[in-house]
Amino acid sequence: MSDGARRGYPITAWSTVNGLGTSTGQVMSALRSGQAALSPPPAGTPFETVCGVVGPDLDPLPEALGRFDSRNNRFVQRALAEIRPSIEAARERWGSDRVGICVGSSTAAMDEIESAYASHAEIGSLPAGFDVFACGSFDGLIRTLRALTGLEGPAAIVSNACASSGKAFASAQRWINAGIVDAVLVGGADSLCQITLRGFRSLGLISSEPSRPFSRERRGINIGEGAAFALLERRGQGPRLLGTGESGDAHHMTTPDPEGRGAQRAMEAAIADAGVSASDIDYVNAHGTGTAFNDAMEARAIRATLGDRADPIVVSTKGYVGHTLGAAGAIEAVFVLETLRNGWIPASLGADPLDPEIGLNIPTARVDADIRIALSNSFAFGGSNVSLVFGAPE
Amino acid sequence: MRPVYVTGLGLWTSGHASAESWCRSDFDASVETPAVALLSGPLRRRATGLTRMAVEVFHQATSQAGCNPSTIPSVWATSNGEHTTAIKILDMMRRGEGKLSPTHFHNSVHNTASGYASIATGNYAPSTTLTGGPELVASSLLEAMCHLEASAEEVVLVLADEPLLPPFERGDGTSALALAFCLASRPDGAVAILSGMRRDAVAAVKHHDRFGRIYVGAALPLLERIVLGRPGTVALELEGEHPGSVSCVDLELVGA
Repeated sequence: MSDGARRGYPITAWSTVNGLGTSTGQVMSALRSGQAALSPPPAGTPFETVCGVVGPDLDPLPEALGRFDSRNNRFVQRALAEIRPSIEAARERWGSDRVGICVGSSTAAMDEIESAYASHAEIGSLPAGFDVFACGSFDGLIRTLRALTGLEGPAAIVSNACASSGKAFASAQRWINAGIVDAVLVGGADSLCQITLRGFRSLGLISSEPSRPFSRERRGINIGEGAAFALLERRGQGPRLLGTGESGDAHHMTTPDPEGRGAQRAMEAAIADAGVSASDIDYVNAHGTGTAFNDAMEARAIRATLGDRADPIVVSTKGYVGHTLGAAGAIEAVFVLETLRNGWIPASLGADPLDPEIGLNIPTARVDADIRIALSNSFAFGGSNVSLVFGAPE
Repeated sequence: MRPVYVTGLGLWTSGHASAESWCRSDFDASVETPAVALLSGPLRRRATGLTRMAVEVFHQATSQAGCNPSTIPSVWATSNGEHTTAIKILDMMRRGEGKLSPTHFHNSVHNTASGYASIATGNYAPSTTLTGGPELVASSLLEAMCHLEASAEEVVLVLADEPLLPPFERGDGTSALALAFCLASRPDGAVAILSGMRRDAVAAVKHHDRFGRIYVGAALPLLERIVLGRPGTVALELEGEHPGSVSCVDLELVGA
């Protein structure tokens, strides 16, 4: 094991753009105020719902990267710009080939592929210059990340649906543990598209109103979009990634194991990997999608994992920004890192009136608290589960 | 990073239902769909072409290695993912069908194959699906090796892709391809040893006529050289992508 493995690895910088804002400061100020940022869905959505849409003030990629330009890569560009000095410092400190890139994404720039396909159907050709690999694919995401950061270490996109960017933290931790890199730019990015909106609708999971995770009045998911990054380093200052846990449900492609055994296994593995005990967990950022099924399953799994003695605060932040799918793990990691640094937990928006069956300590107003250890969950299609344990700065 | 041991291989492409068949150029026109015995009837009926191929080679490699498919951690790599299903969905939307098929939707995610394999075998172990372009073979092998470096005793790496369909085709060749490598941290039952993953000035992998620019095709030489007994440094990237240096790994044969 490498030197940092026992105490985890510090996260020295982080950033996000999502429905709440196009800078981390804007996002956190809106989160603190307890206001949702949900707006009408993209044009062409054939049903009523609200979405966590990233604001309009996004710059196109520079001309030299024009063929990679997409809404998704504009999120990436905006979020990376905020932490550029830290990325440059890591590159200087470790060497550019010793800093990797591991980012989660479920659909990347599928919205661009949808537009190109519609254009082809209408006029018989793809838009001029459209290159599916540069603009619409995950390779285009990697090339954009490399071009914007100058990082030359290993690079991969994790694509395990809604667990993608949570699992990117687990892969990044493995890479540092194995000694192949000294730092990893971890993150996630996904943009709204019709396939996911209509797909979740086909499963009967979309709420036509703002999502209400853990409420007895919850009616389903709102879809969101955004990007988030976290710079994980072998050594440095900041809150720490203490442990990660991954599991498979081996149950069903879209329905979680109702007993929550897969979720429980991921949480238990993360807690064991972190070298802490269940009673040390002060705060859980839940997957909390706002569907009847997920929230009941997850509550059962959290109770089974953390036991009756512990009484951690459990929050879903999906009431603010919607479910940002492949980006959710990274965006919610940023929310947790901010909590560990700043000592407040956002209200679990929409949870009031609480579902009495949930049986967890879910705050419906912001809480000031000195949180030392937090856990964050992401669950996905295919029964893919990941839990991350973060610790306050040492 | 410590060396890792190759304990099992899998390959499926139309005309070849095993790594040996491919390496002997033993084309069999009757091989049109994977047998995919691991999937029960209902799962097999719902599975996509890509998922069937990927689960088939997962099964081949774990069987050859004598690994338990119900407990082994896995890494899956696909560049184009469930592109064929995505195109079906796009076409349904174009025709004005507002409501999608739930099965098509859940079959469109990149981790579809790993989900089916997990359900079919009752496997609760960690499973990660990676995607990307020219670097995908190297990054997924690296991810698998990191599992072994951490604590896993064995891991299976499955790589699978189909050519892109119109209107997005880009010289990807004509055939789909799936390959698998069962890897272990210990030498028992190994056929080969991999070490020294790095970027180096070695010749990149030439495009194969059948697979063109399908990125997982860059793993073919590694599989072929294990089967045919040709040790040495093996490139893991297709030519024409990254001038200068390419990812490569050193291959030794056990007993050679």
